[in-house]
Amino acid sequence: MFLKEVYRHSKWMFAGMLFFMIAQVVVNLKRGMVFSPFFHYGMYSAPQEALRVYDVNVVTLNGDTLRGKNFSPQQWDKIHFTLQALLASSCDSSFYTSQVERLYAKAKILPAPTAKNFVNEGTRQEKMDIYKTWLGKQLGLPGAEVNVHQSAYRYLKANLEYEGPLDIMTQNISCY
Amino acid sequence: MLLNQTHRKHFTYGWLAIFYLLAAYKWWQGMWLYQADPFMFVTRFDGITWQLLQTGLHRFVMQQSVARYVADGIFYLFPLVYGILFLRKPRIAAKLPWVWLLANWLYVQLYTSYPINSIEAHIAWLLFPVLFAMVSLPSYYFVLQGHRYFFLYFFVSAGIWKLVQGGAFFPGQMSAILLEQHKEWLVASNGHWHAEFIYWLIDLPLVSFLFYWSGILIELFFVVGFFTKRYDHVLIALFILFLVFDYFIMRIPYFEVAPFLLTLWYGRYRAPVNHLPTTEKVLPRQHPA
Repeated sequence: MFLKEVYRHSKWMFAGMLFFMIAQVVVNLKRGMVFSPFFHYGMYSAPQEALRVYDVNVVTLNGDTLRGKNFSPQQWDKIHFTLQALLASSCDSSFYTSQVERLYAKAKILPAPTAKNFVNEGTRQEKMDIYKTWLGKQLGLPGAEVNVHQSAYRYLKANLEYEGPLDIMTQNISCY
Repeated sequence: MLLNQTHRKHFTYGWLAIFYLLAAYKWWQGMWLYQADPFMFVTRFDGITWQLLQTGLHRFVMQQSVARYVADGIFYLFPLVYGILFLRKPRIAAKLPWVWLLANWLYVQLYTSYPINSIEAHIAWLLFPVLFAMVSLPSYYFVLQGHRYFFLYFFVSAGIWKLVQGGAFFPGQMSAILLEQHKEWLVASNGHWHAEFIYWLIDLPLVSFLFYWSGILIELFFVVGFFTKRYDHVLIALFILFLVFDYFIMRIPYFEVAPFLLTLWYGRYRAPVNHLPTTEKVLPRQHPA
């Protein structure tokens, strides 16, 4: 058996491997907080149902919609992950109070956390303005006119059909 | 065949080749930290990451472009320095990986605390310096096997979760995943052949579910590796297939885990028994007392 051989070779190595294995399995089974490098790899495992309507973010550059075919997956993700993170950052404060503060208080040996290290500062509008400037630079056109809007789309017969506009600036995000 | 120093050398070259291929690819895609130029961060539910966030280093790096260049410089130069020392001054090279591990840990934590990529995909950069830190060949052998087992676990656990959480038994699963994953890209890609193909998959939930199940079967097949190394070449092929389909259907570039391929390739060599005075292999059964 592998672990037996490791034990015979070095007790320190055996202890290290055993710790790694146990920590990995515990974090995986608990499914809550992770402690890198111990993660759970359950991506796309929970049942997922198609929604009736999807909120779709659309980005335009100098009036033209960014076309998917002009971007690699990495480039596309950078544009849209950042935008999604920007919208989700409305939850930073509630996440900080409900999770970070609470768990730091529980782990008494750790010093109290500082909110600004866990919460992105600024209003959504302020962050959106920074995003637009950032995106212009990322696309090699600093100073270009970048616009972001959100629309409702419904999936119908192998197509996402436009339903109507949404207001990205006032959209409520459901937090933890 | 027993694992020897030549295998170790080849493993290191292979690892460095993969690292720098990925580095070039990421640079081409604008994914280095200095290129990403992040202006916000993400607080993930990770107790270790929180300790780093608590230092405020991520905010400093966001504000100072020089810090981003330095971070990239350290992350991308370390393997090169290690590689050169490994060739010319192996004794010094053996001392480097623990510092390298710390540097990688800091970089990966920072890099993935911005909305660029997930930390899970960067697990290779967190684990491999430990392998390079091993001085004796037997220690290297055991840690290499440990990495191989971790890689098997990585895949098998992903497959098991799909069974346990129920995604595997929900026929509309893959269509829903594709819609959620690609909605922005689909709307912005009307008429493009790739988007049409994704739409086709969404429209035929049973076909897309078949792809989902193919992924599960590939993941679960890795369990074979816990019992025998005979099929490691099949696992290598399946892993490459998985990466290709993940890229083509999900548009997820999961290439950062590619270094683990080497553990399957070099994991087939047996323990360097001459260096193991206490193992059963040193007392082979063909030489009974």
